[in-house]
Amino acid sequence: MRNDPALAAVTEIRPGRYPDLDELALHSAVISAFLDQWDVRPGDIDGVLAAPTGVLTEGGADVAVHEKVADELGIRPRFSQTMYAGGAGYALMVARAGEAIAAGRADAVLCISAGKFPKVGAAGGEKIAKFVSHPEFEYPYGTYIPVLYALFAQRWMAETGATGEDLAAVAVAQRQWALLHPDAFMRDKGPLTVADVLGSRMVASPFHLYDCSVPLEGGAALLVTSGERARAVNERPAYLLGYGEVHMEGAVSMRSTFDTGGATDAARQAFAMSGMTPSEIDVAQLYDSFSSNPLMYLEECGLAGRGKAPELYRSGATAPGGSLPVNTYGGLMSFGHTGDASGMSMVVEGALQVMSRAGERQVPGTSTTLVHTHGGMLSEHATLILGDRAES
Amino acid sequence: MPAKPAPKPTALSALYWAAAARGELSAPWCGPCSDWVFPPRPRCPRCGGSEMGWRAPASTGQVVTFSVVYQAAYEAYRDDQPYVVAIVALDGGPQLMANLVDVPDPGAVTVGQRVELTFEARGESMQVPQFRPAS
Repeated sequence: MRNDPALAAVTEIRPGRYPDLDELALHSAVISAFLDQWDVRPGDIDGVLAAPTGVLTEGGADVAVHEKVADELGIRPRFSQTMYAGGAGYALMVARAGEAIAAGRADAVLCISAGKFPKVGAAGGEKIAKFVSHPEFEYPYGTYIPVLYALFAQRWMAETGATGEDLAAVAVAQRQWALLHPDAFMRDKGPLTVADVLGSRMVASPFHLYDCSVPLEGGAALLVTSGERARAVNERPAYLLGYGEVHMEGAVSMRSTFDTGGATDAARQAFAMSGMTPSEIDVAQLYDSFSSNPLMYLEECGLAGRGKAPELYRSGATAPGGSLPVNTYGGLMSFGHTGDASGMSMVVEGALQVMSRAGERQVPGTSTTLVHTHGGMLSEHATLILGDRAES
Repeated sequence: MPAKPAPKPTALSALYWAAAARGELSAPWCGPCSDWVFPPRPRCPRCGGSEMGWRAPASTGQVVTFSVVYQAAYEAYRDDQPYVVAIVALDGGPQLMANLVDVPDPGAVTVGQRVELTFEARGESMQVPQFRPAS
């Protein structure tokens, strides 16, 4: 790409519970943490991409977050909007920011989100169910988020022969990574075993409780700049080498196929753009609302053959010390799922691994990471390939 | 215990729900394309035509995928748990989401299982399509 767009700087606050901060105050906390960590002044930023916040709260969504972020920074950006594609929105922000930088429409774009997980009380559960389901053709059948994801998992398992133990192995490997991350929410819980996962209560088959992500609050910011500017901020930026996006049906019952979650074409586009092949990927960050997602995405992104992803977990390839580390920050299942901002976490970690800034969990010699994110009920998909050199 | 939700028909779906209330399945059909337009849409996504002939799909089909729900979405379903949510491909199309009912052992439900249409009363006067194992 022209101007070698790159992630120059990334900051994520520790996922947790912030009862004293509303969504905008969480954004402020993210901005402060970002400006504290990096040698970037507000005036250096001329683009803002933000996401709606409070999407499922009583007060309703705030869809003008970009204005508040710019006001807080005290800047008048030339490229700015609030955009939404669920959890895929953050990888798409990086792609849109990269395009703007390549086109000379912006020099430094701050991509930001902070979120809370809506409370799943008596009324909350029904509200979320309505949001994720078709009102007439799904909602009357008792759907909600785990059920809709389970439909994809069950089909994939029936076709490949994968088992509940295979799903549990994802949770186990990700907990191993979380034990190496000072900010991972589940770090204090210690290691997890397959028996722990299978012994946790069933939510919606094939998912036990520990096959699900941990609902929390948090947020992150990413600065996308030209390669030249990035190198002034960070001697080892994460260059945007390729990206792809796919938008599947919004309602699960309308899916024309359950043979792909939707990553296949997004990853193919990203590989084609980067000129790379799956064998060149050192580390993968794969959106994991549920344990089945990374397994399916390993296969859909071409990192494992059809039905072969469970073997990567069984052999230890995806765990610390393995040959294809996956979700090296612990994933949404052990690091934490920050509600509206969840899709930020795997972009941050993908960049940190390339920047060689991942601390104790750093995978030695990482030069390329693949990040795959989804939004909605596997509706929108975005893949990024990040690398330590501007051209692969 | 609150009642399970009744669908709210729209202008596009009124015929579908009126048929369901009579215990029948009826779905929009695009004649020129010889294919279903389901769920009901203003235009056929293939040819863009807006003339829909409504017809009855088969009342049998197979399970494309499913989940046995042990933790109900919300209170109205608590007495039903475990209940089964499934995607069913009717023979000859289209594809619907529904619950599998009359399932004594939810653990025995399988992808590819044969099912047949039934209905469940909702609200004052509505019925929603459901499926049960084929006899």
